[in-house]
Amino acid sequence: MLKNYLLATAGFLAVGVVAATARAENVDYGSLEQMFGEPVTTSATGKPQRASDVPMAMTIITADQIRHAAALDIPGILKEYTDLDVLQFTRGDSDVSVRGYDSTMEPRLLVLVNGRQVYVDYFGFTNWDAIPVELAEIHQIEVVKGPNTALFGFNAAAGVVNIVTVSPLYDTVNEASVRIGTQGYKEVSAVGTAHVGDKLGVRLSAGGYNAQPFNDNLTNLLTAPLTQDPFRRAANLDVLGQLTEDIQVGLEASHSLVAQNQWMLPFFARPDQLRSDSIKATVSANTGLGMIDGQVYKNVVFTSYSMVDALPGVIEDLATGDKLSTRESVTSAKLQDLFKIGADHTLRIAGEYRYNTMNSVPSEDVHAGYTVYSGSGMWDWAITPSVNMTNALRFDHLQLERRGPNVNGPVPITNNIPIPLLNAMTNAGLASALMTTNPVTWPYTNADFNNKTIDEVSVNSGLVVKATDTDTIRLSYGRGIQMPPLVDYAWFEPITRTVPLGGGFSASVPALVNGNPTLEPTIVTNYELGYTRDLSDISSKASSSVFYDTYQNLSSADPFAYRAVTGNQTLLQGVNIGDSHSYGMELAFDGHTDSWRWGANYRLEFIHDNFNFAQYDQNGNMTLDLFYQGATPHSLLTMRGGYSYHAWDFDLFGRYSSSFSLPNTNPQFGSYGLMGGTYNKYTVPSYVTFDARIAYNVTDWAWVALNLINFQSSTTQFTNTPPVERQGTLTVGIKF
Amino acid sequence: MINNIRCLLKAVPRLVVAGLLAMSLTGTATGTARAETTAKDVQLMLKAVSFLSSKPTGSLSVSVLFNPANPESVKDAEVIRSLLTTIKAGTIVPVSKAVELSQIATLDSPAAIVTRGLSMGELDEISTAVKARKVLTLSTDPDCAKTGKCVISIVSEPKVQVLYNGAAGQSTGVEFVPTFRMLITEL
Repeated sequence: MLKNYLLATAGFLAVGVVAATARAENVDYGSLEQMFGEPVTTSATGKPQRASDVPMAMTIITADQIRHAAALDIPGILKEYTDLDVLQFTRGDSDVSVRGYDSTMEPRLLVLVNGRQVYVDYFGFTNWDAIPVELAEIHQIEVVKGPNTALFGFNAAAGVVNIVTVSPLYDTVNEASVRIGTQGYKEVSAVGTAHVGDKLGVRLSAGGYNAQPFNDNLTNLLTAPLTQDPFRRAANLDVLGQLTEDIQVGLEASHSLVAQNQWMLPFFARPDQLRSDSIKATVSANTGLGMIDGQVYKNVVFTSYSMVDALPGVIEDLATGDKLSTRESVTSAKLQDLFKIGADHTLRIAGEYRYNTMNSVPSEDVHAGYTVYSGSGMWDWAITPSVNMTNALRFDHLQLERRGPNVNGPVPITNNIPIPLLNAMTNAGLASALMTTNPVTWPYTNADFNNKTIDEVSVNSGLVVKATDTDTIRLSYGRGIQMPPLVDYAWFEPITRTVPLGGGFSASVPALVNGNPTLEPTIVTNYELGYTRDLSDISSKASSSVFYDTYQNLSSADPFAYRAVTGNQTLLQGVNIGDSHSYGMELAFDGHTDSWRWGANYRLEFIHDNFNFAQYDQNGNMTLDLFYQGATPHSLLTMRGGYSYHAWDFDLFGRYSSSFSLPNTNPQFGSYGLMGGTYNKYTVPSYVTFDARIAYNVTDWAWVALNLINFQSSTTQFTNTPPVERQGTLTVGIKF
Repeated sequence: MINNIRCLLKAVPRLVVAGLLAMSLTGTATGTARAETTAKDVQLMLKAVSFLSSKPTGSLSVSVLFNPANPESVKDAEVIRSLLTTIKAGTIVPVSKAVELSQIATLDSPAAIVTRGLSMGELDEISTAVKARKVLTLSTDPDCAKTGKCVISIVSEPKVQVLYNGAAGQSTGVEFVPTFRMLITEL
């Protein structure tokens, strides 16, 4: 692949590359934003672009907006500044999606920190608390709407959130804060930078909180030993050095440890602890071949779920009892070249290798994962100063794998039959029959994985027309790929299933939650027309878009798809469940002066599911309400306003959501609440919620802030889980 | 209700296209020069200098090129020099120097701001004089870069636009860092 890459590069040179020979430079976001009066991003095409020039729908939340936010975490900030779907289940456990289709463990939004994914592949979700970034070190949060796998690869299927931190080399941020609040909230956070001349920069950050769960009702759903107080610990080190005039090298390492009561599927939760470690090395060089960027990183995520009925051998007897643990790691190596040919053409060619593996399912000897080889290219053509076209293409070749012992034969799971009855059944030969006639056998072997390959093409095309100095029209198309999470491919979990025996007795018999290597990826397509108008007379910008999205082969990464499969004792299995499509429109309005800040976002969306199995409500009536078309609110509206008066800052955020439906929660792990494909439907009522921040800047280096979250009522029902309580915090911060 | 919304949605693309066509008749996307050089113009010029591949830091000599016989040019030179005394960009502290066109051969600054009101012949004189001397010539008049007489023209309102004439840049021998070049309009 490297050879092909070099040959391709040489080919471009032969036709006359205009390459830079200047000093190497990572994107200096701060200086470029000051120059152009708007944020600069590389998250749309891989090429540095002004926010107003990108060929796709994009929102950038700036450091100044983050500083004025009332929210305490990134999902909260997204809730205040965008029309993204944000489902907050418990403290620290939120799922975010673009244009609906939100769920627990949302798999279609790829989340990155400076281009390194913090999305967790094995379950296809982002643990937002585990992101090792303090709010004070964020330069901007870039939100790309629509598929962008042509740039970022699998899982950027519906959108991307790229968190860009301040540069250790170009920026200076030294800040520390202490925060206390309701529900026992205690948080500390600190960020510091240091420079050695203009050749070396270091940024170090650390932070964490302790708190109590929002609502005691949680213990009604989870037996008391299964709840825990959430906490977060995180630290990050980022070093960037100017090795020579033409070469920069960087090294970044992070660690985080979080505890939550996490809603894994819509109808049950488990307390978990997640530890995430990462290391990343980068090199940027200006060469005769263009701007060459190399990046290598490794993420290791260790998750420990409390599972009382896990298979012996994978249970780890940690302090709080039996736990099911998984270890997932992803290694990614990427090489990219960005260069111009003449004045009008910018090209990017890239190659990527990726290895992803998960173990501990069903034992630590088993490794399941995949290797991906990718090649991609982007061509940006300035047709005229007012018309720009961008095309991006990516090809991924994926090889699935599974190593370790195959699983077959009966699995000895202890039943719960009362001793007298068990003795009687044993004497009659019934108990052994119960076990031996129901052996738990995985229907797949390692060969089913090792023979499985997936080849997919991702596409992004966009046309941007600057019709006037102030009006821009954007037309775009995207085809994205979403891989089923590793658990859907390779999970193997024998569990017990309660079977009534009559006479008031019941027995636990072996059953299976298993992955499925025959799963196909989900294909997401997006068609979009957007329009933006600069309203410089009122220091504002207004934009609108209409979109049409299709989802082909949705998989059971979507929890609604889990279902009972009779005949082979499979209780739950990953499956491709069918298609869906959506259409809608978005409106946005944003502006600010030195003293005032304002903005609003509105999204209207309709979804139509076309799944290949029936769903029934609690009355036995067939319904689609519990799929995405019912689970996505038609209307989302956010509004915000802020004012700074001398040393005071006042900011208010409002959000409205129309009602939607989710499966009802079920406290009984063993029954899953959907046996036979039947859900209990829970309607989340429409809601209006308000956040506020009042800050007093004591000096130019110290401030005090009062943050109020969901302050309009004591509790707010955001999902099917226990309501989220009103929060208040007091922060004291200093710059040093 | 839902049907009405669907009809509305179907109509939106037509409305957007019609609106854009109408608006496209009322303006261009290339910007025009304004009557007077502003503080923002000068600030952006200095910022642009900071993206030169040989990044200057500290004290930076900035020449202001003018024709003493042209009142518009003289007035613009005074405005620019006045602004340069109060503005700095990052670590760059400008030190301005007025240079009459007749003395352009003595030009020794890495950056030169071209005043308004100069004739095409005078601009020719400047572009010839800076050849191979690594002088970044800057103007607020878009036509200066478009005609290749200046390396950079900067329009600050209503939206920042940087026009870069690559041939002029190559002729005088200045280069910008690649990220900056990706963000500007290269002519």
